[in-house]
Order: sequence, then C-alpha cells, then structure tokens
Amino acid sequence: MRVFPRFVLLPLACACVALVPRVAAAEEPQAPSSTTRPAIGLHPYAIIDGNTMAASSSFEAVLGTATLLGYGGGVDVTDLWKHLFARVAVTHATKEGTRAIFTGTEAVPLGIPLTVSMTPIEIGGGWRFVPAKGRIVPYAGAAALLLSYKETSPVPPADASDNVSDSFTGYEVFGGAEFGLSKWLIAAGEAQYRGVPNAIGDAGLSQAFSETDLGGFTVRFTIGIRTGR
Amino acid sequence: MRFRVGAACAALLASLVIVRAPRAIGQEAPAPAPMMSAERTAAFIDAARRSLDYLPGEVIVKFKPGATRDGQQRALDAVRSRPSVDSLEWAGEIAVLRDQLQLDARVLAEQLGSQPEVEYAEPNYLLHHMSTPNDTGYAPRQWNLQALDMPRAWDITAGGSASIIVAVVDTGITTDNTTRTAATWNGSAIQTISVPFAVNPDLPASRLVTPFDFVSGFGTTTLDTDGHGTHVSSTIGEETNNALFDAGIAYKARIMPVKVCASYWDVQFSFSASGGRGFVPPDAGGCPNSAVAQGIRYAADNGAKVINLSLGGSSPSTAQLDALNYAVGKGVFVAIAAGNEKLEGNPVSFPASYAQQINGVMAVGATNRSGNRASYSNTGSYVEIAAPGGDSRDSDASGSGFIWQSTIRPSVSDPGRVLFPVFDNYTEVAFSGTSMASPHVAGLAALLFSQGIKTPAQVEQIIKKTAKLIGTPESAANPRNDDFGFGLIQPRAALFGLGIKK
Repeated sequence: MRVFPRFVLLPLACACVALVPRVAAAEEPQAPSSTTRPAIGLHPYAIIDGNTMAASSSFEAVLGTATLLGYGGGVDVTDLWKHLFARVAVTHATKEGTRAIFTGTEAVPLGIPLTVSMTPIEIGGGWRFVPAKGRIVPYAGAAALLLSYKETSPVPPADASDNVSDSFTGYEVFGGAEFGLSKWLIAAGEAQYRGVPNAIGDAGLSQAFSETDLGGFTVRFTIGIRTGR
Repeated sequence: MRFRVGAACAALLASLVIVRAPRAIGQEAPAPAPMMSAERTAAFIDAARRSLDYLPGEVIVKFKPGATRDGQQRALDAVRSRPSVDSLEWAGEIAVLRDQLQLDARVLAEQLGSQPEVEYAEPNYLLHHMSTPNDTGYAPRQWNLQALDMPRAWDITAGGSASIIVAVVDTGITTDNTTRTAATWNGSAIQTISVPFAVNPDLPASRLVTPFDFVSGFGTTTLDTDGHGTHVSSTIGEETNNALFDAGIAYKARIMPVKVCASYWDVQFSFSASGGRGFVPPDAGGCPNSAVAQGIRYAADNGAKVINLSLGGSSPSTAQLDALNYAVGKGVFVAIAAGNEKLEGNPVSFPASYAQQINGVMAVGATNRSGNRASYSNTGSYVEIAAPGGDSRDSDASGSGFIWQSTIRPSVSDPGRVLFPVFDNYTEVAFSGTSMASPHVAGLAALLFSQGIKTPAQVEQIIKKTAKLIGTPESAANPRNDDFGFGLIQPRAALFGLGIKK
C-alpha cells in the first residue's frame, strides 16, 4: 500500500501529459490526407500482479505463502511497426514474515521479522493480434527483467550484514488480452512466466530447499488509457 | 560381603540413638541434614569399596502392563528373600527392590527378569557426574560464552523467558538458607556438627522452582553438598548483568533442582549418623539409576521444558530409556553429557547413547578453548553435538581453559580439604567435562523454547542444522562425525534463523 501511489500515479501522470496534446490536436480541423501515417499509440496503465514464486517452499517458509501481490505501472508503446509494441513496466511487491529454520521435515518459524521486497523492471515488447472488429485484442511478448531483491530484518537483532539487497537479471514471456472499456479506457488480463535463475540457493532457506529461481508465474490485471490506435 | 553390609546396617540402626541423643538435649539444635536410609548408605559405601557400577542388592523392575498384584507377587516369589509387593519402592511404572539376601544385583535382575510378569529388571546402576573439578581459584574467564557469540544471541532472546523451566537432574541446588546438624567423622570419633547452607546469590531462590530430592532426603528441599549441580545450573542460567560472578546462558529461565546424585558428604553424613566409624571411601556417592529415572519423570510431570543430565555410566538401562521417552513424550528436550572416558578406553556412555534413538534428546561432547575436541570427551556415533567443556590440557596455570561458573567454594567444602564442610560460601570455580558442555545445550534449548519453538524434536533439529561442523563430515548427506556430532552449537544462528537468500 505504501508504494502503490508511487508506481501507479507516475505512469498515469505520464499518460495524461502524453494524452492532452493529442486530444487537443484531435479537436483541431485537419485537412484530409490519404498519405497520413497512423500515429503510434501510447497505453499507460496501472498494474496489479499476483506473483506465485517458483521458489515456493522458501517463500512459504518465511512468508507463509508463495504468492505475493505486486503493484505498479507501465506503458506500452503500440504500433511501432504494424502491431508491434514495446513495453516498460515497474512493479513492487513486499511482504512481512519471520525468519525460519528448515529441520529437514518442516520449516519452523523463529519469530524474527523479515521483510521481503521485490521490484522487477520489465523492458520488452510483443505483438498485438488486432481483430478486424471487436473490442478484445490478444497479445503476446517477452521482456528482459531487472529484479531488485531485498530481505530486511530489524537491527538489532540483525546486523547490516544479515540483510540482503541485490539485483538480478532474468526474462519473462507473457500473453494476454486487452478489452476496450470505452474509447479511452482499456483493461487487460495477462499471464507471465518469469525466470530469474541462480538468484538464490547459495545460502538461506533456498539452499535448504534447493531452490534457485526468483521467478515464477504471474497473473496481471491492468487498467489504463488508450491513445492512438 | 553380606556380613559387611549386615554389620553396617546394624551399626546404622544402633547409631540412630547416638545421633538423636545430643539433638534431644541440645539447645536450639538445627534440623538434621537430609539422610539416606541405612540400607542405601551401606549400598553406596559397598559400591565404592568394591568399585561396582551398581548399588548392591538393588534392582529396578518394571512389570508388564496388566500384571495383577498377585502376578507381581508371584514374580517376586522367584527371589530367594520372597519380598512382598508392598516392600517395593514405586516410582510410577517402575519399582526398586532392595534385597539384603542377594547383593549381586545382576543375579537378582536375572532372576526377576525371567519371570513372565516382568517386562524388565536391571541392576540399579550408579551413574556419575561428568566433570573434573579444578579449584585453582583464579579469576574467571568465560571464553566459552564468547566462543558461542552469546552477546549477539542475547540481542535476539535476552536470557529467555521465566515461563521456561530447566530441570537440573544432578547433585541438587541449595534452595534454602538453613543450618542443619550432621554427624561426621573427625578423624577419631563421630562428631555432630552444624552445617550451614545458603542459596547461591547468583541463582536466587526466586528462580528455583519445585525442587525435589530423590536420593538423600526425599523431600522438597534440595541441598547441594557437592557443587556440581550448582555449577551446571550456573552455566544454564546464572544471573547475568548483575556485576556478580559470571553469566549464564538462559538467565531468565527458571531452574528446577532435582537431586538424584549423592555426594561424598551425603554418604559420610548418613554413615556417621548411623554410627559408622571412619571415613567413607573418597569416591563414595553417585547417582542411582532409579533416582535418575525418577528425577527425569518428575521433571517432565512438573512443567520442565528442558532437562540437563550431566551424568552417565557405562551400563545400559531400559529404565533410563523409558524415562527419556516419557520426558520427550511430554514435550521435554533433554541434553546429556556424552562422557569423559575417551582416554580410558572410550566406552559407550549411558544414557547419552540413547540420544541417537530419540528425536529431542541430544548427547553433547566437549570442546576446548582452542575449538578442538576436549581430550577426555567421548567419541562415537551417539555424539550429536558439541559445546564448550574446557580441558586442563588446553589451559594455562590460571585455569583459563576451564569453564568458570559460580558454585560452592571448594576450599570450605571439598572432602579432600576439610573435615567439617560448610556450604554457604560461593565463588567462581573452574570445572571441565562434558558435564559442563551439556548445560550449554540445555541453555540454548531454553532460549529456543522461549522464542516459541514448540517441540523437543524441533529444538534438536534446529541445533543440529545451525551447528558449525568441525573436522571432516562422514558424507555430504550426513554432515557429522564421531568427535563433534553435527558440530559446535551456534546459538545466534539457531535463534536468528534464515531468510530466503541468506
């Protein structure tokens, strides 16, 4: 909740800035021209992600769940060439749990607070399968991931060296469909598979569980504004 | 043999009059010190003189479930003295039989054990505490707690919780400031003396709960006439940050003194009070297996979450195993000294060797100040964990390689030094042994329970998983070895746990 406004409002603000001159331009009389190139579209949106971590045992041991909710925003730049689009998106997921020990048969929580935070930045693109008519547009794509990952316990009892602040690179593939709610408003549902290999597993509970990937499956819902086509 | 014990018994009975007379006419005579029965005293002395590892004429017997009273009597009739069921000393499911006609307890156990109504019968073995006293008197150095990084562990759980009770099944801890009369041998005659006792100022009575004496007084007051039990208790939970003596690991936990070991003085007082003339053998005393089993069950029944057993012997005992299983079944974690006989042939030590069978019981080996295995510390597949125990071979003249804790001052209580001991004077004393290592693990277990860990099995697994292996592991799948078990305990790591990545 604390970070939701930061990641949602920023893209929306950008969208508004981008939208205003286009709307204004649309209101001005234009000379008909059969040679006018279609403008690229700009789709800024807010994001709610449900991330189910591949390292499910490790996350369940600490957080009690392997699913984290993420919030953020992004922008798709559409019609770069035909239906090709580019994407930049940022989300942030954080959850509090407790440090634990895996006994070999069970994970035993020790009551020491531990906050896990992940901030993936997605840079990629895809193809929109625009139908001849209708309001649903399927799409698919892939992206590179830059994942900022943190584990933090209060100091004391933790030392600074006990906490983790690191970043990793990975990838994602995604597919979904957008639905035009109105001329300007669109919603979308999307599924992602993320891979962030060898980010964990060298120590901690992930080592005990032999889990190395900070990726997983993500279900994403977006709502945003459509400009251009 | 039979004559000797019989004569001793007669002398003991006769002497009751001798002892009581001066008390009857004395003015403001303090209460007598707790005393063992004449039979039990004689058995201790006889065992010491003959270097027996059991009390002569005593067996522990457990009848099969469903055995009727008539069936039990039928089984007892197989013994030459034909004891009655009523004459047995019962402690829960087990009973102690004392037979003055057959003093070879192994024969008695065999006779009884072969009866169909009997589940098992075994000699009442004598266990011994596992420390080597050192009375150097030099300033204390608690390298042991520093080696374990205890200050950072206390950042997480500062001394544990008063809701956690650690039972010290040992020579007792003095629970009252009191003076008792006792008879003793002054070198030429029996003399009645006043023996003052005081509570350790660094382990106040407010932290001692539900004491019980199973060996000398059979009551709810325990008096330590040895110092071992007090030293062990001090490692577990001596008051800390009070500018007095030393620190203890779980210094907010409460301690349950359970006396199951008779000291030299317990035997000497009882012997002299019964009219026995002379000194009892220097190594008289010990921990009857029946008392140990009773003490373990008592602790489990009275709220202990942790039991420390800094004692052991070389004879297996089903009664011990039963008692340990009973305790763990009640949610109690048990730490046991692995034994100090590495240099004497490294025999398997009991009850330590039962630890590998029970998840929730750990056998503890000792490390020295250099972090190596202490020279005396037993090795074997049953050693599960290691903790500082000190070692004279890794120490300088100041005693810096020993474990220093507060206990009774040896210079006024050691039978090798004084004829008339007092037990109201405490100081920091250096001991070494797996007796000293075990309470480190018991203290850590108390901290883990304080932090919310629920079961003894979880405590054991956490301690194992976070231990620092020393030496070469047996295999990657079994990261232990016979010297250190899973390694040296790491209290901070155990209490702090792990995150996902680190």
